[in-house]
Amino acid sequence: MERLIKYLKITYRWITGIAIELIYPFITFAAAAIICFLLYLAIIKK
Amino acid sequence: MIPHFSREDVNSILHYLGKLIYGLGAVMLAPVFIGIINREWDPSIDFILSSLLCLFLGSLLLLRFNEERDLNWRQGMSLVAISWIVAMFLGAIPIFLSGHYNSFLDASFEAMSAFATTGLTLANNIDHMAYSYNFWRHFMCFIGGQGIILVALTLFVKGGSAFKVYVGEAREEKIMPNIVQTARFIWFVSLTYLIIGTSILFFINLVRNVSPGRALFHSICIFMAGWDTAGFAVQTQNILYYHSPAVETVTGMIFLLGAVNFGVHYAVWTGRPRELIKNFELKIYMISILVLFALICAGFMMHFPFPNYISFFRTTFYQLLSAHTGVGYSNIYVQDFLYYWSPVALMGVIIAMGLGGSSSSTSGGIKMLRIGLFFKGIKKEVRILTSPESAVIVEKFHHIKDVTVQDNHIKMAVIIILLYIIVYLAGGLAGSFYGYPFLSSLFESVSAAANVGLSMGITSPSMPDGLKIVYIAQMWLGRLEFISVFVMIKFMLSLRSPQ
Repeated sequence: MERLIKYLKITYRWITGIAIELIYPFITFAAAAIICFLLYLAIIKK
Repeated sequence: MIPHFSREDVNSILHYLGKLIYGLGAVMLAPVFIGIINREWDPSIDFILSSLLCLFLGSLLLLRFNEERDLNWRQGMSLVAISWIVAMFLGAIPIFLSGHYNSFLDASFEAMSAFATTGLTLANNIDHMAYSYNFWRHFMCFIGGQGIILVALTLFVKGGSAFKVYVGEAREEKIMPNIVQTARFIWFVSLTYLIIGTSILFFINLVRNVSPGRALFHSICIFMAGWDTAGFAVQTQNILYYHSPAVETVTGMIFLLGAVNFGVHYAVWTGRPRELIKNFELKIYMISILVLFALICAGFMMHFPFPNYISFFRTTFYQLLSAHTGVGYSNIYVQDFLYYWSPVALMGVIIAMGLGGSSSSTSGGIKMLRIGLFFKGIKKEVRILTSPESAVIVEKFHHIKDVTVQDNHIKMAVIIILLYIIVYLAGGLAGSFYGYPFLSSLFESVSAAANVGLSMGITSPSMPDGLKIVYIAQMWLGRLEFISVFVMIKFMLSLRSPQ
């Protein structure tokens, strides 16, 4: 039983780790999209 | 005085080289299965023959040099540098037999480009290449990105020798106490993302009405070349072939994660998610991506060739991310760089390529940790000069654990940065020597040496043979980060000169 709980904990950490890691690209994409939009506005208003 | 290489050194190096060639022969059988499934009999025979040749050569070396000893540092470093050259020649054999390459040099260029995860290609007519050959091109990327030596580590090399060859392949960090466990963890991360990434790409391709078999093949190949930041694609038009924002988003996520240090993956996967926020290298990476992206966008101030914001963002950000992670995937035509991209925007891409991704990841280039250390060094010097003489100045950063900046950290970082810049400029000058404009040849040179794979059109089967050799050397040097190559050169010279 102890062994099972140990493996479940590892699997839980593993899955949450992957889910958390996927946030990193989303933050990068979102920040870049905002920068691009601001510069786009500056370019088309020029 | 540096000691001469002895007969014992030669025996040890050739013994382990035999093991590596044996391993290469074994993995060369993987495309045979793809060939049999797709009823490609001639390509399957090419792979069987190439594999047999590797197994024969490996056996010869193992029989002749059969004494297994632990490697020392110089043996390990020399072994790595030699292995990559041998792997290039042996990996080139089946694709040369495909008839898609004008010469064996072109096939060797392709093999080095794949193993070094560069992605520059000299193949003719990729669109009609047999599945097994195309799979081998991408599989070489996967093996090279993981590390040829890393592949061998998990199979053959044990004990004290393992760490020496691991470091020789430009990976410095032991993620776990045991180096073989570290190698296995790197495989575990890559295979986990292989399943996730391939499944998502497979689903997207199915939605786009691609047949299931073809969808699976494209998804696996695109993942392997994307995760290992290589940049080969199944079709000539690269990622542009798909005309799909979904494919671009997913591949973007794949190669951004591929360019993250495996130590960070380990920390996050073992219950330390805050590493993503605290990690010094990732912070520098994020800042660098955003600053260079702003520079590229600003490069379109004078001439704006995009119809709308979405097109502007899709095109510029994908090229920037592709350049910075070192993958080399592209969703534009090669000519677009020449006709629509301003020199400022091109310089942004060149700098991004030159800087590269994270240390101990699959990407090439200078690496963000060294850039961070370089700036830490400047900060430390300024603090020393502006503080009382008795003050003790300590600079720290968090990279997996808290690290105090030492002078030798900064020295090594600066040496490697300088070597990269010299190699980038030398390749640019070589291109100019052959008559190409300097900006284009610098772009191509940085792309080769930083193992990126974006091209402004210079890399083609018709380019001069001399330039092909220069780019092969750049890819090799850039992938191994110089030191192991220098040790190998010392080894070769000492063999020629009497003791």
